[in-house]
Amino acid sequence: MVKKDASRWIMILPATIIIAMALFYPVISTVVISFQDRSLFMPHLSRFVGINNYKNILSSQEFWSALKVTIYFTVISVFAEFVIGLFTAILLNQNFKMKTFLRALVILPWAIPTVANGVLWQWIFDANYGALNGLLYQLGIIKDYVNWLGSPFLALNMVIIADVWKNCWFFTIVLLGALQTIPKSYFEAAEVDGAGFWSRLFKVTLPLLRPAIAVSLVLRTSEAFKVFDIIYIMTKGGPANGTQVLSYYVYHKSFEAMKLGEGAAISTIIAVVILAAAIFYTKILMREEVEINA
Amino acid sequence: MLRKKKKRILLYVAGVIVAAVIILPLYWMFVSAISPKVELLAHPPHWFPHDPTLINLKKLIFGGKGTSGEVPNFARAMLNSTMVALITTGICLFLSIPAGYALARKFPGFRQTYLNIIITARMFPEIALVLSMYIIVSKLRIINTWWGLVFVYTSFILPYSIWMMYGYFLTIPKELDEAAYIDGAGSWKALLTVDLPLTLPGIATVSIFSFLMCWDEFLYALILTFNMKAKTITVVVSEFTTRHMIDYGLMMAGGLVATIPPLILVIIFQRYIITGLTAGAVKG
Repeated sequence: MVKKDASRWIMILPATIIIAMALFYPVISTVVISFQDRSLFMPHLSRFVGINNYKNILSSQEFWSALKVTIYFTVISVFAEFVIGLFTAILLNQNFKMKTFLRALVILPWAIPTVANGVLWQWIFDANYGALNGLLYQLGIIKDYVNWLGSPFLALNMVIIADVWKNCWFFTIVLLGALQTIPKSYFEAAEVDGAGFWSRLFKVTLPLLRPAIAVSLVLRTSEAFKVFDIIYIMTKGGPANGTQVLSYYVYHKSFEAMKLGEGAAISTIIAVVILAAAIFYTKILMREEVEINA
Repeated sequence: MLRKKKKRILLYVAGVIVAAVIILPLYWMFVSAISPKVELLAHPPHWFPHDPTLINLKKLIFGGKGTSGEVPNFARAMLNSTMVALITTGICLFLSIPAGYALARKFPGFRQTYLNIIITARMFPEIALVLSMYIIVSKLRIINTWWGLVFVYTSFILPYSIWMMYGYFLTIPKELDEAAYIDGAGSWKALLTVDLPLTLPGIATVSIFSFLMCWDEFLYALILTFNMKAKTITVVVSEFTTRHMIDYGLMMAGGLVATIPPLILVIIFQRYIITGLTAGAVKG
């Protein structure tokens, strides 16, 4: 029995109106601006310019460089986070005394605001007084202090390290949660059959974790593709645009170069890419679910 | 037997490495925040401060001069962050509890479409909406106020909290509602007296996530606030990095102060956070 009375509309309408106003309207408005030549301070002077903004963006070398940096950042950081997260999840699923302590510990980096994480690693990587230089020097690994954030490609990788340190534990928590739902007897059976660590990992653990892995990969990939905060804090897109990801490029175009139309055009391109990826991922996920149920 | 022992040792070695990787950077933030400037500039670094001091933390809380000029008003930034996070969380709960309940109970045919639409909208990257949000918030004349941020954060968190509350209401047996209807209760009464008390863990999870997301948010706070009337803690901490002479001790103290509230929340409500994080992925 479903009680359908007028009150159900009163329950759902306020939230729906807010979402329509505060989420759908901005989405549409961004798409509209991307076809305009719009100024931040004199919006009444905006003109319709067709696909000019898109043309400008797609023919600018800066856009393609930002896209490349974003893809590198996303692929490397998510892959590293996944691998570290998977192995720590397996570790924390073992029965040993440190388990409880470690389970409480892995959630801490996740709680740190991204901005605080950024300033912390900026200080650790500091060229003159940073802890990383100090440590490597004392251990005799480097002879001279390295300017970690001083050259484009090295800086990008160092920012990835900072990002991985904060976010890999998300995979640990999610995959540990999934591991705990798998009966211990599965692993014991494989061990009795003489399967070693690696063959148990690839033949038992990974296939059973597939749904959890897929969902967490989708979540982290879409987040990494949108990365902004840590880039803004640690490098401001530099040096020499080496860490300028797409989100930072939008910020720069819209609020520093004041080209709102072009900023909106890049935004729309990013949104289309993420939506396409999301649809693609969901399709694969759906198929996997069917396979598992069958 | 030997193999078992070897495995034990391996486990503890791995455990110690993981613990060290997590603890050492946090330790360094703490040590740097309580080290005097001379020690921060030492070669090699002082891994243990010889002469710890609270001067950086005091400057942040009570104001004063740093090497790179006036210390920002941290107390005000903390107040701004806290109020924005609390108001947003309150509004999201107020709207998402009835909406989630109605979806779970009263829209059997239409609910999947509804949820799909709002979750798709949520996939739009924040950066893609920053321009139009700026224009909307300016037009509403709430730029550089708490309400401007509350408006934006609510629009991002609400779809997610409706989805979570919907999931929690689904786990409560419909028969409880039906019994209440037979006793003459209306929909609101059934929601408030029968279902709501049973969803308290769900409400806790939604509240904590909403609070943490607001506290952590940076991009919109950066663009929608100009001065201490509304600047949040993340914006104020970020400003340390844009000065010519970075006062690292003060910056680490700032990072530490910004980290402590979410850290405490996470430690106290660990159970709800783990449920929240794993709910989506494990249940599918």
